[in-house]
Amino acid sequence: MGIASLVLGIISIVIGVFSAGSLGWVGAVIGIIGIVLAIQGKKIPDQANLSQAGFICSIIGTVLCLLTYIACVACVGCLALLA
Amino acid sequence: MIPWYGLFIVLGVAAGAVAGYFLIRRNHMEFDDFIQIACFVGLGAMVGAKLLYLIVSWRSIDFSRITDLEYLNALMGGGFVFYGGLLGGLIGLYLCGKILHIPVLDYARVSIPVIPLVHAFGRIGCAFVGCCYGVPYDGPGAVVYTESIAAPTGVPLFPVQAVEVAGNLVIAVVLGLYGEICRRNGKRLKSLQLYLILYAAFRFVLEFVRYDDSERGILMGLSTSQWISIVICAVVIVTEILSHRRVSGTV
Repeated sequence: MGIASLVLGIISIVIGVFSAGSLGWVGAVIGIIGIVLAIQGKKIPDQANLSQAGFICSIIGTVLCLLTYIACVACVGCLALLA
Repeated sequence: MIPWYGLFIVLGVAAGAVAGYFLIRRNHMEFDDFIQIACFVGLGAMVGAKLLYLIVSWRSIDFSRITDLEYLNALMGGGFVFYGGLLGGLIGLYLCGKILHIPVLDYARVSIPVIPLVHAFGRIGCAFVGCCYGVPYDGPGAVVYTESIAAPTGVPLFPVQAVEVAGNLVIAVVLGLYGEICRRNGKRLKSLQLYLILYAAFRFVLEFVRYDDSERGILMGLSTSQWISIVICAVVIVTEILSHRRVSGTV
């Protein structure tokens, strides 16, 4: 659980930093799953430290991805431009 | 360029986490469980909000280009509908209870003021971006966008986003006070039902002063959100009557 959350957290940070504009939705989903796994991992004493690191990385990654991904109905206009 | 909408959603989630922390601690519950529930609800809300957006704007989608990665990403990035998020969030809540065996309804009843709080921040983002705009209006408080990818520029508009921000904050405060009063008197919380009724009624009225109907669909003179508001109110009222009768029947 701890390693999985850390890996997912790092992946979401990488997506958030390098390609949140296009893949932010993937990064946000990965980051949120990482947070859930980290909390599950914190309950296992051996994995508490790794899980804590995974928790922090997942939160940072999720925030980075959400920042650039989430757009409101405003972006209907963007679709029209692409069509 | 600053992504205003995303920024305010992130600020809203942060404010919601702080408010949730105090609400959960005050009711002697586990904050870690609250975060897990929030994650499930958040995922469900993202999926639901996106699905309803795709449904209401399906006419503008070019399905022949759905395998084009650039187009797919634009489609996934462009637009969320709050009511879809609400329904998706409820499904996420149900799944969380089933998968993680957490008493999700108890947590939801206590932390429900967090939803209108986060929603209020989202609407501030709308006001900055210019989406979810109001009808043309030149009275006090009218807003004029000089640059917006959604709202008509140079036209005075009703500040519907600001009204929704204020309304959501009032709903959050009412729910918070209601929860506190119930906790002190040892009464069973019905904050979920109260929130759904308050927001649905408020949204139904607000829809009359929104001007982005063409982007969201109209059916028999009412917008998609107004129809959803009617359905939500009907479902809550019917389930409450049935539940009241069941309780009266067993006493």
